Amino acid sequence: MSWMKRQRLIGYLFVLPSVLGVTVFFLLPLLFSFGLAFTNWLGPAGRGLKFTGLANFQRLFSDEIFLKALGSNILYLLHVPMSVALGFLAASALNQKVYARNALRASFFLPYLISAIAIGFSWMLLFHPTQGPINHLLRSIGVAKPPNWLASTSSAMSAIIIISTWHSLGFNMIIFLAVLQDVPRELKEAAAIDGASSWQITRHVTLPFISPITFFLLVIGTMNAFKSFGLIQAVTGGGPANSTLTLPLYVYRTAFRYYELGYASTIAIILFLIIFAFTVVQWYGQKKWVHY
Amino acid sequence: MSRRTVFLASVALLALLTCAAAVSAEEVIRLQFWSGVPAENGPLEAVEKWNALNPHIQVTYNRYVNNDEGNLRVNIAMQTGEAVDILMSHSANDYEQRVRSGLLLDLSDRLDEDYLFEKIGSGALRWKIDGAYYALPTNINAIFVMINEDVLTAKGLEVPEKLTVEELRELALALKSPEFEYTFALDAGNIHGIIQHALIDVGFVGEDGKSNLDHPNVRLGLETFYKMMYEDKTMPILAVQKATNMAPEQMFLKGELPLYQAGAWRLRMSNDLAQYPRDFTIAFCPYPYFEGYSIPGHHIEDAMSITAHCKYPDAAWEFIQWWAVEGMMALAPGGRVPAHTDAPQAEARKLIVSGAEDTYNLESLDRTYEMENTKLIPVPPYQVLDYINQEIEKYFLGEQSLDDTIANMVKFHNEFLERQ
Amino acid sequence: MRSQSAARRVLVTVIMVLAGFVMLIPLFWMISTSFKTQAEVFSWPVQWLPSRLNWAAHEKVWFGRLSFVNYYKNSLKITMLSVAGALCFGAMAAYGFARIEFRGRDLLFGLYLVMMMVPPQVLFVPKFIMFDWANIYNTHWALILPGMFTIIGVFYMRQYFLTLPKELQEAAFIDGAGHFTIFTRIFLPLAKPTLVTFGILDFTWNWNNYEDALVFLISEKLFTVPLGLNNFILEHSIDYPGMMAAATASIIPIVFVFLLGQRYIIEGLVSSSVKG
Repeated sequence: MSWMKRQRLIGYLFVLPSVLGVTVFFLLPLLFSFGLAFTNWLGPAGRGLKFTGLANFQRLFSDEIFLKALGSNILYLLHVPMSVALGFLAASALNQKVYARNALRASFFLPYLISAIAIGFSWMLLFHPTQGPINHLLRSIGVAKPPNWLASTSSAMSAIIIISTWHSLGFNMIIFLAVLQDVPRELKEAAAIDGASSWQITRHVTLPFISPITFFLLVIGTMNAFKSFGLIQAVTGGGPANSTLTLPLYVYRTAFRYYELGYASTIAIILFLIIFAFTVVQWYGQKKWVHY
Repeated sequence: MSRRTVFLASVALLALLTCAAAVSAEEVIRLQFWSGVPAENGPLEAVEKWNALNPHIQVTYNRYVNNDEGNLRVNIAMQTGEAVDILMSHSANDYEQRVRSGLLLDLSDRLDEDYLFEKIGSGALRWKIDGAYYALPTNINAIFVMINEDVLTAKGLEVPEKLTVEELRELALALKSPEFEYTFALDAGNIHGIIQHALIDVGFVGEDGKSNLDHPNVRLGLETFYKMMYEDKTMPILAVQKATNMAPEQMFLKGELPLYQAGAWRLRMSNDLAQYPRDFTIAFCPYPYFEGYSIPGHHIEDAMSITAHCKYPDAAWEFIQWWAVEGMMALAPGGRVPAHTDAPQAEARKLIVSGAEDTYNLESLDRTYEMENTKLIPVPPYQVLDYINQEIEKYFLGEQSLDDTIANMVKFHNEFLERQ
Repeated sequence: MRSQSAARRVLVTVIMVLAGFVMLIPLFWMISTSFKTQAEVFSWPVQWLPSRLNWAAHEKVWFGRLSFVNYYKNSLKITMLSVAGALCFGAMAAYGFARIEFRGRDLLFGLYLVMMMVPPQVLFVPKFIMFDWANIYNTHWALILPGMFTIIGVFYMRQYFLTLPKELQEAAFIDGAGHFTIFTRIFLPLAKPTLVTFGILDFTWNWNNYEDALVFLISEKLFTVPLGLNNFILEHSIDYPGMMAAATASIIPIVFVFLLGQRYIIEGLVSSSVKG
């Protein structure tokens, strides 16, 4: 066996520990839960296990709560590009020589650490329709009828999007900060000597260089928007009138409040397919703008 | 010392030693007891008392948070042999789910219905599933409207013995004054209660197997609340109350809200005059009812079960029986009155207001316990409950007409019933 | 030129301080509430500051019947072991996926991505059955072992390794170095900001892991910090000062780790001559 060929086989050794762990802790449980989608398995004791074929899927497409949650979830995705863009801005600003840099970085990252229940508690106050500082501000700049935010079905999702942007901005920022350290200085300096403005440097040097990471953040953000439920659960619990109910909340509710585990698995599979579709689009779309 | 004394003394000593040896030789049974009551609110004290009295059956107290995720956690834990032996269920829905999943032991051979009716009353029926009992309910969870009596007196009004829904609206309106933003409120999570009260005698499902949500009482109840929110402005708009984390119990105790629909679980707070100082008297009256229908009665709750995996069901049953009669007394200061008639209920009724007896209209409190024509309110499955909440939230936001609200609820409920 | 850059520095600082202040308002409200009494929490108009510093809630968190000291110990143990494993196995796998062309690599990585798409709630019950079978249910291993394998970490570090130029590797091959040498001597040192960043994030995720701890730990002595927050959910209300004091206590270690880690994320730390 040639030396190069052997080096290639070493690749398996590199991924082996991770593959083993992922198989045990993700793949096996996952395969097991797929089987549940076709049954009406009610509760972990498994009484009355019965194969129901595709009936669960039929029910899904006439389930108005599901359809509504799907719509809300797609709207909720809006916070992802917002948070990535703002995270990049914050990272660029805090990658420069500014005063109190570490304290400032920390203050942007801190929201990402706060427990969901504290987030809910704080933002309910900030968004308070009459007493909250946000509406105070809006009224003082002349908005006569500021939105009721969390207390109205038309604005609750906007409020959730704002909260999620605030929450995940710091996450995006610190990932950008790490990769910004690696943008080759020579390239930037050369461009500056050629008379490029700082916007042009960002546009033509920095952004292409960090594009694999930007791609990563968009993919991860999209997946999380379809997976996480702690924050919304703590702020609105899906309300008012289910206007902020996203698919993960509905899966959780169906599985662990109604104990319709079979139906919950069905929703989860559809949810999975949706995430899959989004990721495939992003994956093939990356060729247009991601530079490796 | 005579020989006889010596002989008797040594026999007695020997007997004692044998006894002690027998106790220590007998293996100590260890039981895990789970409930949603915070440990400091009585359970810890009661369990310690039991452990002191019963060295051979040692119980450990565990508290779970009685919400969806907390219930999920114990449901999963119940699958293993050691984790949960005795479980207290707080809602009929969670209990039924556990029974259907085979997590709880059928108590039929230990607990017959005649005994239950004699000792607990017909309220125990809520815990009957397919003709069998899997739990012994232990607590009379009183429900009542808490009234700031001083406000009523100032207006020359008497504390009502009972109120219909319309009378409640009138009373709330009569109490309206610039010093109160609202005159009536209830916990946001209990808003659907109005529908349960409306269907108290007919239930959620009619004899034809169809939804009863189109019953005229449902319409009347919802409309009354709507008018209280928007016309009278005596009651906070539901969605606003939820989204702003409004705490009606705090408003009531600060004297900012004269009528608060709650229950015995708030007595711990209202007894605490150090944290919540107040100078007014609190009076009580039953929940509003519908003309010609029953009055919502106190819940019979905190149902104690033995888990299916429990290795010592006899010891667990012994503990449950003790808890229902004696253990419960340690929980009385938090508002719990034992449901079992062998327990000193009168004493418990004094304990639930201990420390602040003088600040209550006790006569009116007693009346709620002795009210006639009461009935347990029906509890629909969570799926139906959540859907009802969604639709009435839309209605109470002014985003959907009452007709549509009722039509949607009925449609969903009927579809749900068909699926079952 | 110099005064211009100083002016720019001041301007950026001012803007970021203002923005940072806005970001921190909810945190400020959390800490302020932790020093209030329950009655003060619900008083209107909004009381931004407590009438006096009331330490009762913090005392309850640290010296109450259920002290956070023990939760801290448990959380630290679980978090550190998980992060160590995730960094080690994750960086190796990331290098393998990014830099070695072995057969089936893209398919395997595709499978990783697919598994990242699964809503975690779906896995509770199957994972419970497995953990119970392996006798690690209700032990810290039920959190540590899965915590050591993160797909997102592999994905993230892979993306980073992809930004590094090919020449790095090729030059080393010519010198006769194998993949292990290249990985440990060249790529890992270069990846320091990325490793540190992932370390901080993974620390955060493990430290705040609530759902798994909730389902897989039931003995009080095994509880982690996020589970400790539940002690402040009472039967029909929430002890907000206590809850906020606990929430404040729970972020301190992460802030510490963050500030420590930031020392490694400073432009120019890594020699840029090896790139480009």
